[in-house]
Amino acid sequence: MDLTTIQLAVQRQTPSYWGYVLTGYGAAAVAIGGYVAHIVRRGRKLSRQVPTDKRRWL
Amino acid sequence: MTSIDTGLAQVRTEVEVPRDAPVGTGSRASRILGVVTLVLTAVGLAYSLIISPPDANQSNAGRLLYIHVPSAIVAYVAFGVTALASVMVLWRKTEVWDLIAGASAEIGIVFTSLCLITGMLWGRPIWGVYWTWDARLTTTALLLVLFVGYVALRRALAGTANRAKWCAIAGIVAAIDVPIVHESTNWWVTLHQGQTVRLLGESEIGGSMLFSLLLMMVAGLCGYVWLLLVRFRVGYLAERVDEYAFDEAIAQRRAEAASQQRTAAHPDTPAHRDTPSDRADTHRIATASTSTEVD
Repeated sequence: MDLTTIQLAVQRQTPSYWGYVLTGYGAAAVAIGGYVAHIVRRGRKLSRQVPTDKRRWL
Repeated sequence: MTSIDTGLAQVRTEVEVPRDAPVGTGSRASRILGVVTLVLTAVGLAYSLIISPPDANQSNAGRLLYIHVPSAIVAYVAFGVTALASVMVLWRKTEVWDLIAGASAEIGIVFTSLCLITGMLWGRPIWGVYWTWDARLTTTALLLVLFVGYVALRRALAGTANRAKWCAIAGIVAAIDVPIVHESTNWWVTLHQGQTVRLLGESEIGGSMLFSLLLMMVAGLCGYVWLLLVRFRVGYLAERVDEYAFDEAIAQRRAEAASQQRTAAHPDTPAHRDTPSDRADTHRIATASTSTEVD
């Protein structure tokens, strides 16, 4: 057996772990996306209760 | 110029209101930063999931490190900013630093949780377990608990000055764990690997893998600054809303007192009944009282 055959055999036996990877990236999207949606929504709700001259941002 | 109805004898006052006054927490700067973060994240994801090759030993599980490591870096920065802002609260005693400290701690909690979750998902295929009481993992979990306690303390304490002082002390004490987390792999024998990427010296990874990691770190830090900006503004707006609610409550109390005095001065008038016309009178007095105070 040459080196390429051995490498291919090892690759075939190594799991891809895509399930863990996609779960991790999905968790990141949910955590950050959820937090962003929460603070943006809360900001809009609060800003309606404050006069316009008090919400001048840089 | 915009006309505002003061509610007092139908007087209309001309008040200068900026035409481009924003609705919500967005501004030109935050929108530009948001777009830059989204673009960096999109390119970073393409490199992390598609362009960079699978790790020779960890296969695709190594791709989890492109979000695990940046999450840890952002959490360090967030808690560092909380500690710095807490020092400024004790020194300058200003509301701005207190709001920055609280906002940064909250963002730090999100990224520490993400760091632990992605670390556990990486640990299962590589170490064989989701969790082990390794020094790095344990000190990171402790960091999360400390800052959850910090945020709980912020919500529990009443009085802005009182809350600012005690939370500043708590923030500084909790942030002591950050250097302990970072040095844990050097101070103790751990299962967790040591530093892979070094600012000074040669890194253990290179090529597109190093580029993906650095790109995701930059995207994470841009995202942190954007979140800090927005979360700070939310905190600022919440303080203003509380102030107005307090002013309104005082005006209402004054109106009630004025109504009682009027009843005492004219005992021959019928006993006070809570009719719609009475409520309208009370509202007018309340508005007049507030107006006098402002003038």
